[in-house]
Amino acid sequence: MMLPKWFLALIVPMFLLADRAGLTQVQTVYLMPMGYGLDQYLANRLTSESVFNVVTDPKRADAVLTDQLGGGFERRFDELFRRPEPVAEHAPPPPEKKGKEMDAEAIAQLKLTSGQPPISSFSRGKGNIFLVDIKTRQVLWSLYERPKKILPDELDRTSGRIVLRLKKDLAGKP
Amino acid sequence: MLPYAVLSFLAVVLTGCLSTPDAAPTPSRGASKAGAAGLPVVWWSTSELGITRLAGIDAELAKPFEGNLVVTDKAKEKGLILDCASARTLQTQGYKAQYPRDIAVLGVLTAKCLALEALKTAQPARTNYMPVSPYDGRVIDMLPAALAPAVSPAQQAAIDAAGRGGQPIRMVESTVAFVAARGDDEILLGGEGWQETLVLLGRGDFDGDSKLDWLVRTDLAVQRGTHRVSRLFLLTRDSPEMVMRVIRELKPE
Repeated sequence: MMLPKWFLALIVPMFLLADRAGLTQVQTVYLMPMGYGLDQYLANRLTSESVFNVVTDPKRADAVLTDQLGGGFERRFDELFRRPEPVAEHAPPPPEKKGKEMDAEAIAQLKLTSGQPPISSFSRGKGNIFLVDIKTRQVLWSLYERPKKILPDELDRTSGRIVLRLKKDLAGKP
Repeated sequence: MLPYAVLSFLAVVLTGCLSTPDAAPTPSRGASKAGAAGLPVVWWSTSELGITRLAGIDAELAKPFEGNLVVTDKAKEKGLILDCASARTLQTQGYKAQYPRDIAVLGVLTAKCLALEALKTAQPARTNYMPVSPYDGRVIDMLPAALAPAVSPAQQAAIDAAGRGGQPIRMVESTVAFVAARGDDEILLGGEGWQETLVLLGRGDFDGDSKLDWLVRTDLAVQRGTHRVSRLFLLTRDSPEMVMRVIRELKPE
């Protein structure tokens, strides 16, 4: 079924506005370490062009810029942005565990702490950049911009292109 | 009907690919001729090293970087790194990246040059005690102490001592954990306040003992800071029960 053009003209900008709303709420960003140190060039560009405030304390950030998603990212994200879970004041104490039940829990805990997370993939410095909301974990913005060669000038130029695209998207320009 | 000779050729090619998977080059990797009994051949990362065949090493080493990197020595004398030769010469003379943001780039470029040099001597291995992909948390117990992050001389001394004793990375960095693996050539480690990517640049027998060795670049990044260090190690493992051993750390000299 073909949608009428007037309908698309009405509905598409609404989606774009909703998408941009999350992006425009970002004031402060934390940069995860990126391949070839691209994060350092990006930090310089973001600051000099006053796009976002770059913070070194992850807890003060609204969003995080990263070049990787997936299991590896999620694990690092959890470590950086873990917030203490609220404890119910009058919560009943957990029931005592005995025998096999306790063994199973101890084994599960050991597995968690023995550095054996599920195998996952990650992408490092391969050209993708993601802006992830810290509260919702939603990817607010992403771009593919791969440096043509690994040299300071090129990494700086790549950062410039990333920040320019970000500025345009923040301003709602195509 | 296809002629018998064509069918025979296809059968031989397909059988070869199945028995030595590492021998089949893909866009992100290169490999020399197949080793015996399905053992890994001389393998390298084409995306990191820029070569598709070992015969291309000298041309890649001689190629200018198509740009430069400014370095300075203790007297603030400037130098320009333009290719592998100048990277080696200037760093041997004590030059370092002028700006902290360029440290990671200099490390990657230097590691590439050194890895290309090392690959010239590599031969197919006959024995393999190194971990096999897909990697998981068990790899942590095989990694040597030398791969632990060191940001102070005291930490480095502890790592060196643990390395001499053949101890694993966990003995000097208790927070180390396997975070993820990407394909068979990247392993991401994480710990309290740091993360380190192990990038396999090459695999083969580099020291002539017929055992498989890894040429590994370690990219260390500390969180909440700009500290970045890339190092290049030649690692091996002498038996299935042992921790990996550092054959040597490759540095410009």
